[in-house]
Amino acid sequence: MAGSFKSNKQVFLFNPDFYRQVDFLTALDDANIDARHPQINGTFAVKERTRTTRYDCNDVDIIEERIDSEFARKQFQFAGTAEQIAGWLALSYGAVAAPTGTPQNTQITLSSTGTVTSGTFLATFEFEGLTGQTEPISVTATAAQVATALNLIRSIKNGGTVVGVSGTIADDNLILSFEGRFANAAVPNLTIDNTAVVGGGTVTSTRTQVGTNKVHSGTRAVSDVLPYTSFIEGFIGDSTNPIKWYGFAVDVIIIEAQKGGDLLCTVELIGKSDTIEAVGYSIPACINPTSINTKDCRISVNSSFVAAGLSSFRFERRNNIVTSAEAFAFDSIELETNERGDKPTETLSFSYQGSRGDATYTSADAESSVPVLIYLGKPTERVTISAPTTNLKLGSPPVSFDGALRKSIVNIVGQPYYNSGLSASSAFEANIARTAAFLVTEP
Amino acid sequence: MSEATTKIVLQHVGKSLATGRDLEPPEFVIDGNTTIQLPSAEEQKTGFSLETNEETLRVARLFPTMFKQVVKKDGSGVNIFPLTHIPTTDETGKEEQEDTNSSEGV
Repeated sequence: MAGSFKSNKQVFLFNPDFYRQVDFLTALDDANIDARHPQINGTFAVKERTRTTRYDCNDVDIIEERIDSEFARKQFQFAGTAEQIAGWLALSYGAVAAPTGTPQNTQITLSSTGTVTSGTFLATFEFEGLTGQTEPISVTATAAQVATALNLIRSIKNGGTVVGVSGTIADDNLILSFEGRFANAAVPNLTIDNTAVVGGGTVTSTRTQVGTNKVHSGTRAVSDVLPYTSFIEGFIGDSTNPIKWYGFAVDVIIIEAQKGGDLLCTVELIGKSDTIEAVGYSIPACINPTSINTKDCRISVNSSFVAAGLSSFRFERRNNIVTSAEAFAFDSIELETNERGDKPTETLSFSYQGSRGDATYTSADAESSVPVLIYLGKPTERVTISAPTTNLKLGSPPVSFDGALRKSIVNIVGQPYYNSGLSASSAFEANIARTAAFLVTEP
Repeated sequence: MSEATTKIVLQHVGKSLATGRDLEPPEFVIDGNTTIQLPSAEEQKTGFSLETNEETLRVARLFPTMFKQVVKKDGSGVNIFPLTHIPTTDETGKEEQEDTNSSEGV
């Protein structure tokens, strides 16, 4: 076997297009495994074997440990991009639709109704649980001046950018474009306070173009046969050839975040134990990922955002791939199939600054089933996990204390239930720039 | 009319899970290790059937928020059932149906 744990750095190479193998036994081409995957805690793929121990004729001493079956398991953890997380979710869920949609920014047009002679107005922008209001803006302000005022408010700054495109309110065509972290995202209309407008008329705001990105929809496969992938492992500076593993399906995916850090994704794969030496393979250069920060994640519970007070969350999805005897051929120790178990499982949990009596606490105390949406990343490049019938329960303990200020943290556990609208308990959607579908076979 | 000729019809009504907004019809869907090619966007919007009912139902089960199941009934137009509903013999009217092909009348 090539490679070793010397003083060399282990690297994990993957297919950034997230192609699937044409079948279980046909590995992806080396040429398509052409990117280094970010990894924080990675393990070299390991073979897991079951053995029968045979004893001597006195039934005292071991004379043989015969291998009955073997497969390989690979686990790694990374802080990555929305596209990378979407790719691993696609392999985990097993079913996707080809992407649709044409990227465009949200545009809002300010105009006047009635007579507006002078004075000022206030614009309020409420987005995903955060609300901000501008300082007074003159009704004669230019588009750039209106944009400047908007860019100072909390619900827009921190990466959001409003660009004043053109026009004036008097001409009913002052156009604003939402960019930065709002690029290609659907953002809501502005709310206008006309109290200080002079002349009897009002300034009105209209969303004249709804932002959208490419939409990749993913859901749980109807088929028990999951999509398979291949990867290469090697060591920087090692003169031996890297090795390629194939026939791997995602068994476990965990997405978790703590306030103030990066979103972490843990993936566990199960596949064939035999490997292919990647002769002549050249390890690609390292590319630093732009990972998702926790502050760009949101949770919506029963249509209300747990925004500023969100402390942590964790979503775990297990295919429970069958690795018992029935996955192996009668006459071989090799993994014969790599299929999802009969009962895939999902759980989620989250903590937020709150107290007994708030809406989420009350729902959990009553063990209500409510829709939960988990948003991963900025609106411009994000993955959304939807669990429309999530049964909430209070965690253990229900309330704890957090940080130096010892604020109360409510701990919630959620169990996604089957939802007839999804034909599953959850699904995901990626709103990202990527135009190619996930899980297609190699061209 | 034999049971095998009753075609199940789907119509694209694509709704985004995250935003609830309309989505355009996809070119194909992938289920595990199978790619299911779909007809043109226009056909998806008016109604379509795939080669087998099994394949059609597979698409409906995968993306029930994207596709609505439409079932022709003898002579009286169509019945529209809930997204995950699998029609019974009585509902499809397949015993009497003369032409159950494709999206006619949808």
